[in-house]
Amino acid sequence: MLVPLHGFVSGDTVGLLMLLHDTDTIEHLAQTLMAAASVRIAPAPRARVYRGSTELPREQTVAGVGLTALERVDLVPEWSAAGGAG
Amino acid sequence: MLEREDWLPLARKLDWEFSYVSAREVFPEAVSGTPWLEPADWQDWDEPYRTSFGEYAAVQHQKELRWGAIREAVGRVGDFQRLDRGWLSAVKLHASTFALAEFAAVMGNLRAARFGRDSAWRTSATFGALDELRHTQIPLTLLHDLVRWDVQFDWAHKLFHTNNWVSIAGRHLVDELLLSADPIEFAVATHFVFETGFTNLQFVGLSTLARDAGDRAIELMLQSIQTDEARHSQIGDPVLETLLRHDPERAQRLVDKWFWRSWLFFAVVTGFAMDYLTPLEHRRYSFKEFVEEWIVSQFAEQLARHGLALPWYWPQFLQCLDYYHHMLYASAYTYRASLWFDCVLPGPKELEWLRSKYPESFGEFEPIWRRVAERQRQAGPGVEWYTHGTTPITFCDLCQLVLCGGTPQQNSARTLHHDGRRYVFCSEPCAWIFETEPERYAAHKSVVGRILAGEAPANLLELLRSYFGLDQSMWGKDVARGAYGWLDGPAVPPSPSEGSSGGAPC
Repeated sequence: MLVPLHGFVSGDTVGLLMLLHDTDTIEHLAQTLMAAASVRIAPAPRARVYRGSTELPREQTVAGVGLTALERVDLVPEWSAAGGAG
Repeated sequence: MLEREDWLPLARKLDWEFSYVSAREVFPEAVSGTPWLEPADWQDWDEPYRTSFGEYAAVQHQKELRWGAIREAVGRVGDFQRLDRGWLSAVKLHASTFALAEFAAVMGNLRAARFGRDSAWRTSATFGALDELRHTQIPLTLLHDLVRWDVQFDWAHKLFHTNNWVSIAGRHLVDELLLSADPIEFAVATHFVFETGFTNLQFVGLSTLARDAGDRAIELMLQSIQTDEARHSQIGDPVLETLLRHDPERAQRLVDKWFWRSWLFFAVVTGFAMDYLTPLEHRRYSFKEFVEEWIVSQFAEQLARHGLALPWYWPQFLQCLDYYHHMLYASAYTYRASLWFDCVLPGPKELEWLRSKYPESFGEFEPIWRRVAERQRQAGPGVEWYTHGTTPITFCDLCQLVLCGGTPQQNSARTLHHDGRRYVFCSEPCAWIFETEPERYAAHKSVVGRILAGEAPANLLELLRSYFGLDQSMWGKDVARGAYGWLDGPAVPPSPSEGSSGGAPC
């Protein structure tokens, strides 16, 4: 099932519409959101995804963390640490 | 023969007591406005111009003669072809958002010309309707001749007839402000807040810029319009005064609501023009400086004069002066194909100017502009897509503008559940306006709502073409097609937080 989300990247200027499958992982969400903002924000080596103040585990799925249609998610790029994108 | 002072009060004040129907039947509250007051409560209504129809017609006739001469002298296609392309984008943005909105204001004024509660008010509103008709016709006639040269000028008339996202936002504002508001709300919102408070930004501020940019036609057009605005905006004060005497809470709520909605509109239209589209050498003041003079100082004094408090979100508004139109413009530039005017990529000198005018905030935008500029440098002139977003953006369920509130570090968007549906708002004031009257706004669908309902395509290119009414010949591009001299030099090394710029475009 498709889950539309409002995605925001820290440092960016606008909200982005993310259309994800509920089986997609938070890692995938992070990569997709970072790519969507990449015109304005250079992709970071690593990033954290938040719903409100709660960080979402990257290995879990959209359905697994309970994200539902049109919720807000925030991506905070991290520039100092090495690792996979998102 | 009667002197003017003897007959004018009789001509303006023609209220009488009804014998066959009641005043409530003649002026139903649903159309005349809330609160419904007895006729005696309105009998002292007055405004300073006290114009008769004969005087109005004579003055307007002279204005029209002058305007005709100006158009002949400096309003031809060749006069516009000499102007800076960025400035012309400011003209396109102004004309498209104002011309048909002014026509909607004809109807708002005509509603007051029938259902305003005092005869002098109705007389002034009649003149206001005629003014607004003039304000529709002047830019449309001026710019129509330019369409064969530059098809983007067609959007002066076309915008509000499309489902372009700016049009949806504009109609959401105009429908409520001008077409559906009762005369009391219309007077407070349009005459007091919008015209007394904000139009100075556009008609005085932009007129000054037009003069400096060598655009005499637009300069004098705006000045001519402003003389009308200054007169009919005076309707607002006495309506507000009466409302304050009987329902001060409603007066404050209307001011708070319409100040915010007006601010968002002018942040787009005037903010873009003053800080980005006007050539740097013609800018004297920043948008923030204009707002500080005309709104923060002068309009705030008017609020105090009426005994009104500053809107409850005033600290947020002041923060917005440093951020909101910058957030919007960076977003608009990277989605410029969704617009009908070209956008300017700010270069090193423009960034330096913006940094000097916005020392507390612009540092947060510079990495974005360096990133976009570097991608443009890699792509080379004529390549638009490498500096353009491909993912649909999201929109506020109140103002219908993109979610650009807050700061780059903390976007102020918030969601809200209402009646089984989740809504998103760009800011606290937009959420507050919605929550105050959800029945007024809840059924409206933003662009995202239309995409999810299958009414609009999710694919961005299809959205632009089949829903926003744009094609490649007219959609917004970089004003210089990426051919900036300052991009010919070596790449600017990114800061650590800007990372690498990725590969060159294919």
